[in-house]
Amino acid sequence: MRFPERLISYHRKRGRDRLLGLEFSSSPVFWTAVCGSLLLLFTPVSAPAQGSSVAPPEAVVRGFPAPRHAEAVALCPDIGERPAVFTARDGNGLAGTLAKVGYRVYVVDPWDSVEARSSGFDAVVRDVYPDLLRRLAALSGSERVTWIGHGLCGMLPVAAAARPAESLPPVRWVALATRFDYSFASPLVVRWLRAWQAAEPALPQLVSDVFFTGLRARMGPRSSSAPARLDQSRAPEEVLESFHRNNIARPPPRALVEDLLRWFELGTPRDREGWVEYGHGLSRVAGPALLVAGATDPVAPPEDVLAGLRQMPAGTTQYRLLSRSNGNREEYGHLGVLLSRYSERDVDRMLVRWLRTGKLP
Amino acid sequence: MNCVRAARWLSLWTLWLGSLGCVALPIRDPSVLQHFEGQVSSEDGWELSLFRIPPAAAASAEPHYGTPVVLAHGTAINRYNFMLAGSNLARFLSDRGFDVWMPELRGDRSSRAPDARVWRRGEWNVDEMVRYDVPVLLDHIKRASGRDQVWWVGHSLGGILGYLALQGSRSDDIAGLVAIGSPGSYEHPSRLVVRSTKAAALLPKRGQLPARDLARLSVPLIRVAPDSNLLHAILNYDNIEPDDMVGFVGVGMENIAIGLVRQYTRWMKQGILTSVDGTNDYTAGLQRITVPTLLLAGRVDHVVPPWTVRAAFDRISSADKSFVILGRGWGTRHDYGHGDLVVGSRAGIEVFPLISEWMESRIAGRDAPTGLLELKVEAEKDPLLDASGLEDGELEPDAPGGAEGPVEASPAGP
Repeated sequence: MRFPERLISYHRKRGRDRLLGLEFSSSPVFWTAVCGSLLLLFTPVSAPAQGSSVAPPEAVVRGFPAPRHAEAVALCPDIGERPAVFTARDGNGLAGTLAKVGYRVYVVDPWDSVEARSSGFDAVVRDVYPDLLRRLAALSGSERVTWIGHGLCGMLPVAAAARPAESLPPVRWVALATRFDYSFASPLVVRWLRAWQAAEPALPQLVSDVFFTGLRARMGPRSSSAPARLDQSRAPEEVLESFHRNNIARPPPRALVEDLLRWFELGTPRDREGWVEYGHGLSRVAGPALLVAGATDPVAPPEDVLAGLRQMPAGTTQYRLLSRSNGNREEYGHLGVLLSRYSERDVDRMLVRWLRTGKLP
Repeated sequence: MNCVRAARWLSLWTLWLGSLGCVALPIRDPSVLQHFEGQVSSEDGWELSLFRIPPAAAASAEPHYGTPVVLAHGTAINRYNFMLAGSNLARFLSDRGFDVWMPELRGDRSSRAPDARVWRRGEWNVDEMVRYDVPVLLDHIKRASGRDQVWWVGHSLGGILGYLALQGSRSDDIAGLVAIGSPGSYEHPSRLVVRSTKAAALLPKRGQLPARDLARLSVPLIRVAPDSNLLHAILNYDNIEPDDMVGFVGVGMENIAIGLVRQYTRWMKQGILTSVDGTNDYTAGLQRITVPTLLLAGRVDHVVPPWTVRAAFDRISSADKSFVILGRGWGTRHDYGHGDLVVGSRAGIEVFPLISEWMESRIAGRDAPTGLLELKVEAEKDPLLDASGLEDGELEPDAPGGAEGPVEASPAGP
């Protein structure tokens, strides 16, 4: 504002009522020019420099208002999922559980951004993720942010750590079913990615075999361990597939699909220019971390999660396999971690315990 | 709830400890058993039985015809590991032209110990099997088949014996290895395994674990709760019918020597495979393996999880090595556990062709993929996809006009 006032006062001091040959007090042309100049000058300053296309963190309200200084927890879905995946299980989901125990829960969606669609994973790591972290830190009041990422979202803290030093808010993070080793591609996962690369939705059986593994087909009086909302008929796969397609699934951004296929071909996650090996972030990533693997998950098989664990700092990282041999009710798969009717008992409680105490049950 | 749990554990432990004194008696005359080929004597005095299914004459034109294949069974199991009526790998390979040999290792009821005391004490271990059993078996099979090399297919312990044989002086005798559910290390054991390891400390120093009797006692459990965690640790119920489970328990189980249990316990505690005296690191020795190798792992195998098999794959030096995970996300109908890798209801469709074709391609010298293999089940072999039961033309669209086709004029009646 100082710039035009100074100009105007300069002219007034000199006793002139003309600026650049125009009557400024009365001429509409003058005022139009001044307003236009102001707009041009100030528009770039008022808009955020980065991440303008990113949806802001969305607070999830589940009837349990968080205390004033409650810690912010960000829930981030995988690339082929809508954020509803965190609330779909019987209307509450993991988001509801965390809200109930007093966390301020935000659902973030870095994949629904111009950056993800145009430049893929690199731009999300470079622009979107830091922006989201800063916003979350500001929203929480405390500097610390808890990041719970499902699938590829769990890779974002690692990838950010692999980039040249950038000051980001401290994060403690949970990687739910996140693959860190890309040397062995699960054949059906690659087939699913290639389907989207060809812009064709994957066949229902393929979707079921990739995402809905581990849901017990036969146990007790129920026909399946799909959540009650989904299990309306005796054909859980079809119901799940329909649910997946209509409510939770969405086409993954093409650029991200290309990135993942390239990583599988290279055998390692690397940026497009070949400068940054995202896997190197495993040894540099700070903050307490929890890696969770589903026993039957082809998207992030336990052995490929363990490959990441071996490279991470031993003191701050914990690992949990969700499997019946570890006392869980299911051999969890990729979406079962969030959607199984037993995931509240097996997964949510474990996460709450870890968030509260830093220890696993 | 805690009282119920305590009572359950107490009864299980009572049953377990009470049956420790039971030692299975050896079979008096193994020669009456089906497919019995003969017995070989090991250097330390054990008599080991060998069973053989010769190659089917119908496959005599195959380039691999008559190639000897050793099928080595796992712990607490005998040759029926490969000979069950519903999933018979031995017959499958024989029909494809392989000369199939099935040894029964020391401690199986068809074997004979040097004396009764050795049998009762149950102190043998994996080291002795590799040092004494494997060489005499290989010598006999080579001599009887007239070939210089054999192919080794092992399930669980059988695969470990393959690993160890290929690390030693007899590596030239083995042309290739198929290890099914055989670990290369024991990193990140499950809670179940950790508890089993602790429980093993309560076992006596000598004797045999009566796995055979305990398995028979568990038949009602199979009927009532086939998907219980106890059974699920060994077999995935989705992948095997209860009748097949009961059938397998009836004929296929053997006792386990305490010596073997102690060695396994040590492996699980250490995270690596070593000799009993600790001087030989078998996990590190995997890098000495250079022959073609195929490793198979069950996705929900809780005894030998896939990452422990992957540890073997990563260490083996062979340029021609392949790894297959048998699970829904990798192309099978169900996720495989430990036992059902070989005795599962669908093993004959999903696992056996893979093993056979992998060996055939190597013997024929064909270029074949390596690394993580994708399982491809032929549609015509899958009963659920099989259309062969349909009549010809049943799948054809109806002709226009339907049944109202031309009608032949019937001959005039008398």
